[in-house]
Amino acid sequence: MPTELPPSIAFMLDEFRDNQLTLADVSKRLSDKVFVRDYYDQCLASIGTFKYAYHLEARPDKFDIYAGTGLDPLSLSAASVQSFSA
Amino acid sequence: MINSAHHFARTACLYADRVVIPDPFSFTIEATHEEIFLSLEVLKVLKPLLEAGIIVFGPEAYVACGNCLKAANEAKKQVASKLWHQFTHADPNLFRYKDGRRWRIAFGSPLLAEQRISFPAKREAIAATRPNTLLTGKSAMSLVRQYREALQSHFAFCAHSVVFGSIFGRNCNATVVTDTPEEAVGYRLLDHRNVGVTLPDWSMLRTVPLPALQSLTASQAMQVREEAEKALPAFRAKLQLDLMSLTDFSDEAEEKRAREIAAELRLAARDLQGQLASISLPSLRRREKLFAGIAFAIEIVALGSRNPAAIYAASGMFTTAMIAAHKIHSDHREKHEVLIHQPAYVLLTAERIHETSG
Repeated sequence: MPTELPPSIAFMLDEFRDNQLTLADVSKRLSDKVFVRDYYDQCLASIGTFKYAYHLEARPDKFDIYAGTGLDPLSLSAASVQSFSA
Repeated sequence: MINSAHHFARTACLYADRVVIPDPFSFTIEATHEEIFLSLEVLKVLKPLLEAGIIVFGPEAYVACGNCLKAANEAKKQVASKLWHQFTHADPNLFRYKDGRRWRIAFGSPLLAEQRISFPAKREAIAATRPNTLLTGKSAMSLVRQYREALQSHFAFCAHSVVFGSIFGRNCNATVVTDTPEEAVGYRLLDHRNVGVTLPDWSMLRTVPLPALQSLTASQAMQVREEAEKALPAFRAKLQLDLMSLTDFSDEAEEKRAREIAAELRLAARDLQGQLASISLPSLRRREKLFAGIAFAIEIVALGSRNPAAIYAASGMFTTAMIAAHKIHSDHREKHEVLIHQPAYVLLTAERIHETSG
């Protein structure tokens, strides 16, 4: 059984399950007020009810890591940081 | 970002039992359409790892009391200031390059290793530089001063990420790991001040350069995790033990040790490959089949003789021969089982996956 995802993420992955996703598709849906309201509801449900890793117990026999911003592929912070090969 | 998702899958998601990342949607109301689109693209790549519970989500915001907030802000200021100090005192350099139709300035320093901080080029910077020519020394420092505000904002954001990561890593009961040199420096500065409870040697957890793992896609990384499941605990233990046993804490020593471990693992992989091949050699298989063949032949002869004594004797021989055949099979299984628990089996699995997909 797949692990449960935060409702907002599950909602978005379900709504945009098409493999050939474009920015225009996303923009179009995010311009739809009804869709945005549903999305915000899912965000609130995530914050209110989802069991985040914040509350998980420590597992001393496991190597559990928290991805710092540099490692997190979802982080958009590195927009000004680029790798150059000399 | 798609590349970074695959990179993330084949490094962090392979080396760790569980990886916590912040929820990109629920806590961010000001995200642009493009940011949401990019997050979706990354999540799609990582979906198998999300469903398997290897990647789990942490919150992207937390409630803090006034005192905690004050301490966190103070720590951010100190880290940002020290990062700026380190950057300006480590002989920064820069060059101008074209990105599409626009000129950009890329600042570098030993602090950033091969990464550079890049900004749109101002008119003064264009005048003071030549395209794709490295500028160092006083001329570089002069432009660093011109970009002071932008650079300091960059380091302030980095400091924010470091302090945030440290707090969240502790609250998620996880070790904080990063792969950017400036964040690594930031965490060290933070550790020195004893803010946050991360493993003191966390910065040793570098990506070991193993070619077989360096080109895996997210789904291939997932496949390695599944197929080399038994070897992964030993693999992780080896990396942690070896990388954390350093007494010299310099970047050079870390890099050198990481390369040594990579070489050791590659050597072990070749040795393991030889051992795995030896337990499935054709001669052994033939011997195994021969035993089974003899057993079958003896039984037929005995049954054909209709002599109870012969049947009894032959059945005894048959049983012995079958036990021998099973013993070899069971020895194989045991030896195979031992071998697939070896750390280097992770590398072999990755190589095999590459071969079959290529």
